[in-house]
Amino acid sequence: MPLLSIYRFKKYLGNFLAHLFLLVMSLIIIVPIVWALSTSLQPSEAVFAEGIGLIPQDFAWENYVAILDAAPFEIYLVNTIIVVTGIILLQLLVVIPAAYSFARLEFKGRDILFFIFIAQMLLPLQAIVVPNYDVMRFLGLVNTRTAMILPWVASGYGTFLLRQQFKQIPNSLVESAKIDGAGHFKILRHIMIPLGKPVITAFALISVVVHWNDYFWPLIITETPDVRTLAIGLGMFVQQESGADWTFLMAGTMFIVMPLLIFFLINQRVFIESLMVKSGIKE
Amino acid sequence: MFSILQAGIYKIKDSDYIKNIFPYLLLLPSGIFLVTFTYYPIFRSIYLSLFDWDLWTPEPEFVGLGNYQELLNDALFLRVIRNNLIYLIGTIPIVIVLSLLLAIIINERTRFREFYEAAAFSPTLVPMAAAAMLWVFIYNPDIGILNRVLNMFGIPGTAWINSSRTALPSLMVVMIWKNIGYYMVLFLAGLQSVDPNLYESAKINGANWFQRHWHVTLPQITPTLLFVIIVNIIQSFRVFDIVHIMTQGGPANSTNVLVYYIYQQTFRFWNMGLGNTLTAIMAIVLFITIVIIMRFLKKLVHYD
Repeated sequence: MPLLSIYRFKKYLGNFLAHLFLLVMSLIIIVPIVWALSTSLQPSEAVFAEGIGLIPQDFAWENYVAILDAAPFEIYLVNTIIVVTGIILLQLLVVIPAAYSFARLEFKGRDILFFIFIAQMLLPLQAIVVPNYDVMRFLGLVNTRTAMILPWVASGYGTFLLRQQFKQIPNSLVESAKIDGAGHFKILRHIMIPLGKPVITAFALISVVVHWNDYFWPLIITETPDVRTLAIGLGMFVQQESGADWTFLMAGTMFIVMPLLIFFLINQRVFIESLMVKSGIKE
Repeated sequence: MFSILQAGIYKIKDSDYIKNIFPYLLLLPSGIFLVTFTYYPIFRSIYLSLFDWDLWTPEPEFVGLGNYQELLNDALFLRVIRNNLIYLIGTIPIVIVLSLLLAIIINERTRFREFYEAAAFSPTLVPMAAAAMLWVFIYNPDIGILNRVLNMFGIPGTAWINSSRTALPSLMVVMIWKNIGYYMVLFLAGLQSVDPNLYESAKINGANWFQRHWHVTLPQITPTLLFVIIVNIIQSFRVFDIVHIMTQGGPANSTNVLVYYIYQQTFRFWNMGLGNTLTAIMAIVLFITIVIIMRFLKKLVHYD
């Protein structure tokens, strides 16, 4: 009997410690965001108050109104949506056929071509911003939204993920479709894309999150506010307002954080699950 | 009879044609983008790295390996490389241990799981520029929350990103904070493929929690682990945003990293020759790293 209770006690203690660890970690991780959010909702003097004040004493929405006057955040938001949507649509348009080709067709040089395609994901665009700037200048695309889209269209990562997925689709399905007279495009539309949907969703989500974040490339390629995106808009705002009060800066920061964060909290299951699907490294 | 044969031959020819050209046609759209915006720029950079090209020499002037030589004698370049390596070695183990620990512990229970996952994952969705801004505020010596909390425990705060001693570690903390949630999800995915029966038999053999995970979990998730390490290495080479917003490479270049140095040389000092040389070096170093890792990966897959 005592043995059993010791066992039980150990189990409870283990469970307690685990939850304690998770809780502490969770709090440490979210406190910065909560604190910034709370600051953004306070009048500017509140920053200097004693204590840690995570919960605002009196709410001040004015900061959010004020940042829209100080910088065209609404234009940044629209530009970000245009750029991010443009990237993912074009990515899917070119990646799906390529992934299909690599996964289901036989041709000379397939392996080496596949290596060339996926090696791209290991060479970050950040590394080749300098020559890419020249390419854009040659194409006359400096300071355009198009220039923020094009370099990301060919995606080694997307090609890799979708190829893995298309490979796993049973041959029998494809064969029977072929007997029914389906060509490659029918097979793509009616078998590959519907069955690959979880991976396509995962890739789309990752792409949106990554490109919502883009900073270096827009910094180099944009010159005027009318084409800038949120991340770089914030960067410029910070430089222009340095010395301004913190509640104001945090309102700007939260303005670019919130859209994705809210979208995530609403669709948490979909997000986490599809991210888990996509890392199907195990094949 | 004859016409059927003819038709048959024609058909074979047609499908041969399709067989030969069609796969490449499907690769073409992607290929055009790939060549224009990845491979052509890289080779152009490698080519231009052999030229002097700056404000004083507006027309590129061939200097052979002169730029490379210049960099090897450039104390700042060596400093930058050192910073990148410190960053890489300092963040990878911490990120991996924390994210794996989170994944394992979350995976073992269902209560509050969604809350923990959401909390750990949320920084992933904070754009790097915003994360940087947020942490500038946190590290603020006078009003930042970090020094306030430390003061509560009687520990004197410090200047964090304004001191060359603490600046780089401070940036590393931001990246760790931002990335553990993402890797946690990757590890959670990897953990789904571990056979639960293995834990049971380990338990019967008297293995404690740590031993179970060391001997069962770790070997089973090696592919995920490797993937996370690769992604981490690439990420640590391309760090730029936080440096640009938080420290501009300072104080005294203590946070200057490769991509930031490229940016400075090219778009601040308009030294295209050096900018292209640095780009070429980065591409070549990454390529070599990739090949080594791929070799390693192949070996690993063979053992499976």
